[in-house]
Amino acid sequence: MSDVRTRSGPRWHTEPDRVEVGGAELALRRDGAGEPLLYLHGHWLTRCWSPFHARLAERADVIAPEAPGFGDSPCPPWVTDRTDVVLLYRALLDALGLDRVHLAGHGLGAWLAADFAILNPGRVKSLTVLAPFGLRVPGEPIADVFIADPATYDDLYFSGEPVEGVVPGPGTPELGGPEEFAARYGDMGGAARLMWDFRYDLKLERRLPPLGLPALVVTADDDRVVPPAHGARWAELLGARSHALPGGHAFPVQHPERTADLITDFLTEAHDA
Amino acid sequence: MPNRLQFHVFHLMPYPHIPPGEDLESTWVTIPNTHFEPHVAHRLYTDNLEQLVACERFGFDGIIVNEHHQNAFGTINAPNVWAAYLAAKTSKVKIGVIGNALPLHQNPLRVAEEIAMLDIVSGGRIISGHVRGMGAEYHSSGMNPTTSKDRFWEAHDLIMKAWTEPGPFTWQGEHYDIEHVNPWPRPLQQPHPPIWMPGTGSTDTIDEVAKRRFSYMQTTTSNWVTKRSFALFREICREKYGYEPSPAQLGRVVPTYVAETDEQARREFMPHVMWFFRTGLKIPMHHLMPPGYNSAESMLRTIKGRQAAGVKNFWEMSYEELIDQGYIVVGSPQTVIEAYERMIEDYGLGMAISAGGPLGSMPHWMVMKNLQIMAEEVIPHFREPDGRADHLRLPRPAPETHAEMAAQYGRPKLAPVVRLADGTDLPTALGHIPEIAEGADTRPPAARV
Repeated sequence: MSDVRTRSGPRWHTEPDRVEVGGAELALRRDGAGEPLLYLHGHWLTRCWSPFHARLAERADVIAPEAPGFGDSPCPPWVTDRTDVVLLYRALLDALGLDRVHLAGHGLGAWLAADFAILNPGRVKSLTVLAPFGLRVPGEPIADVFIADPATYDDLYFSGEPVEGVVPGPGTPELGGPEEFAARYGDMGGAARLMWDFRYDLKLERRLPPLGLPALVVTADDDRVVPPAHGARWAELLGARSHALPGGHAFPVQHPERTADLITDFLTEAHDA
Repeated sequence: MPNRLQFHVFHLMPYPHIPPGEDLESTWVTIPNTHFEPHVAHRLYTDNLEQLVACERFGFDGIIVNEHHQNAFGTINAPNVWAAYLAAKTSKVKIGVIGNALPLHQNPLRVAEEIAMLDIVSGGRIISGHVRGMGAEYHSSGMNPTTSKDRFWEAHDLIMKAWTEPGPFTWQGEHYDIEHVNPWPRPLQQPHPPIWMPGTGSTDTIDEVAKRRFSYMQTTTSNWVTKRSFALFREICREKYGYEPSPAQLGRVVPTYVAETDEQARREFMPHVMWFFRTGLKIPMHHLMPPGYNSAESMLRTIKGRQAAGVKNFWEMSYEELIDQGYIVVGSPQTVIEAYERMIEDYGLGMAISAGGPLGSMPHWMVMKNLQIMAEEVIPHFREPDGRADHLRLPRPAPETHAEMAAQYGRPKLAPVVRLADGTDLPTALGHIPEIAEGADTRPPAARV
């Protein structure tokens, strides 16, 4: 990915640390103090420490790695599915000396968080899913983010209220120049490796209920990527509370403080319980 | 001596009865198929096939079909079906399937089998093109663009092995795991039909094609991009693989229209060229390049290269730009001859593809006119005095008649027989002759102890 890295980078760009785990190099951003929270990005919003991350870090030890093939993490050729990524995240926790953590993720990251919990239940204190990908809800398909026209992003991701300088996915060369375009194209390719073949995992229907973890589902009132029925189904399967915030699929950047506070309040509660 | 240039007619079979490109997001993936009127298509497909069949009598070297899905730009979904039709309607012209989109199919052996069948039934006239499929076709098929390149090469290698090595064998690959590879039939042309691979000029593709000594087909690009690609191809052949490429390894898709005068040709070609580039080729980036179809690095190189060279999108070019930059050739026979002469001299063109014939929304009569003038006024200029296509001066891969077959090959190695109860074999060809079949006991032979 070194060719496509830019000096300026996306909005809120920061240089990551780099950690060698499990035969891969993961870019890692970490800040804050408190309960450890492994936060997993989705198919976009990489290479940054956004106000949402910063707000979380006011009350938690936020560990935000980038999956192979996303942002600043190179992709070894053997990383071809979500299990590979989950096992690398587990190796990361081992390397950081963290036994049990809280897990949260956005979109595809929420799906990966669920996979992590299913494969490593003993390592997870709680599970928070934000506008999660991963379920098939009949008649309510998640939008095809891989074919979306960049001209529709303000509508699709931000429900008409864009946050300046935050452009997901493959935009036109004019949106951030060729370097940013290529970087976003790379992220989308990373996501396609993990979820192109099936945009959902039917096994989640059977594998989520037995988790028995403290769980939180957060959705947006006007999410045009993940229909509301998905949040509801996740809440049922996880036996979780569900919260709806205003905004679109990009609610963690549209409403960073409210989103972060919902999560950290929940962590405190889960910890006290 | 081989001819100085081969001429192949490439038919995309577009469905042009759609709104203008300006009113469309794309001619791929999302264009509603309610625009497709089957009774109109019946007429179109029939015209299109008739045009290709006519190329044999006009004297072209080859006729070419290809595979595209869910779009109005090219409506041949199943090129091997069309090739079968063409094989039945012709007897001399080469038939190219350029190509089968290998990664879009679950089992590459299906392609190996169908091409072998076509090769046999056509008397060894098949050219087998192997392609990845357009990026848009990954949106339309559910196949994964991130593994497409790997699957392409593995599928290709599997097909080549299936054609050239004795079966059965086991294939254990990264993407295909087939315990018993043993296709019947095997192709007629030995060791296999000629292989063509198209490209837009990327070094990786050119290197892979040069390495295997296949033919490289430059898709629709400008003169200078073609020149650069061919120079690179020759350089890689010579310096990396130590051989001099033959002209037949360098083909170029160059839509061509010839008419009585330059002015007449330009007037007749203009609307159909402009439909093709403005509407037929309207494919936005988010359709053309699904994530992972290329690497981020390669995407960045491409974008920067295009920006540096000032390359425009197809649908942003004017007719004059298309002519001036050599995307297309249009003019009187003399003008067209001179254009091809320059391509031979400047970059060693060996095969002109789309060289006269259909393009875009061209009506049937205009295609036939183009074909006839090309055949009579342009092609002979590049041919040996006999005017024949190169392959017609060579022995055919299989005899054309039973008599020639018997004279040249005698009988097949094995004769079919029925093993009789006493262990002797009754030849089935003679088994109805009383003197021979007399007393034949057709109960199974006794089980061996």
